[in-house]
Amino acid sequence: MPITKVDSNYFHDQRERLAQQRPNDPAQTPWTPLPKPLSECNVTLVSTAGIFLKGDESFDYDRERAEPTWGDPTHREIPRTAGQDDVEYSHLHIDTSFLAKDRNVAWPVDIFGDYEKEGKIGRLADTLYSIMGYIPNFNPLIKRTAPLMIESMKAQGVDAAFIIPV
Amino acid sequence: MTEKVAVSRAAFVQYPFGRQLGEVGDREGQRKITDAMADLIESAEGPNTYVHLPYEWPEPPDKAKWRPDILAPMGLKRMREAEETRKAAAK
Repeated sequence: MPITKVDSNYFHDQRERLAQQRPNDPAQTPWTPLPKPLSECNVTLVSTAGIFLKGDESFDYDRERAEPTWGDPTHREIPRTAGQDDVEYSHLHIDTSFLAKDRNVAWPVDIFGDYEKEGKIGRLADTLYSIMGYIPNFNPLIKRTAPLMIESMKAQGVDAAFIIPV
Repeated sequence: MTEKVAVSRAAFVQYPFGRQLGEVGDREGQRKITDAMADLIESAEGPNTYVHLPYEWPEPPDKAKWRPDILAPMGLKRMREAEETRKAAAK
């Protein structure tokens, strides 16, 4: 059944916050065509669920607890070989227990592994990426983190990235 | 919000935060969403290409759990501020 009504029940003041924001100019939206059929592309995934490899540095939740209007704008790189339980799903603003049970609810590593086997994508890249999506001041994300992720993706010959926000 | 920010391509579905692709264990349902994402990246011919997927979460929004059991720091801050406002108004 098509959903035509965008409600704000999942986030009580979302509609008001959205109304206060200045829209971007759609005419300025960047555009990069897919360079070849998806079945030939090296594909990576980007999550906003605050995923990091166990043993890697956590996102900085101590500072967020001390400064609730601040969120860690950095990213983590996760090897594609990391399994369901090899990572932490750490975002404080959502219930990550579903991800902890089955990552494919928002981190479709197994599904894209199947896509690779089926030839739907050329391959799943060796490195996958996560940020933690609560970033009220997103300038560091745009100016520092995104270029670092892009540099890493280019070094690995990534053709396309699927972003799965939570 | 994504449309307002203006991105090159996006597929939208009204699923709860943290389960954007579907329920735990529902690989068939999850794949419907990822298949749509894969189709979109191949079919989009220009920027601001948005598709609204025709799937509906089985629970009403107020019954679908997405909040963590422990409130996030901003949630705690808002709760404290609301309590202070309530106390100030009661004086």
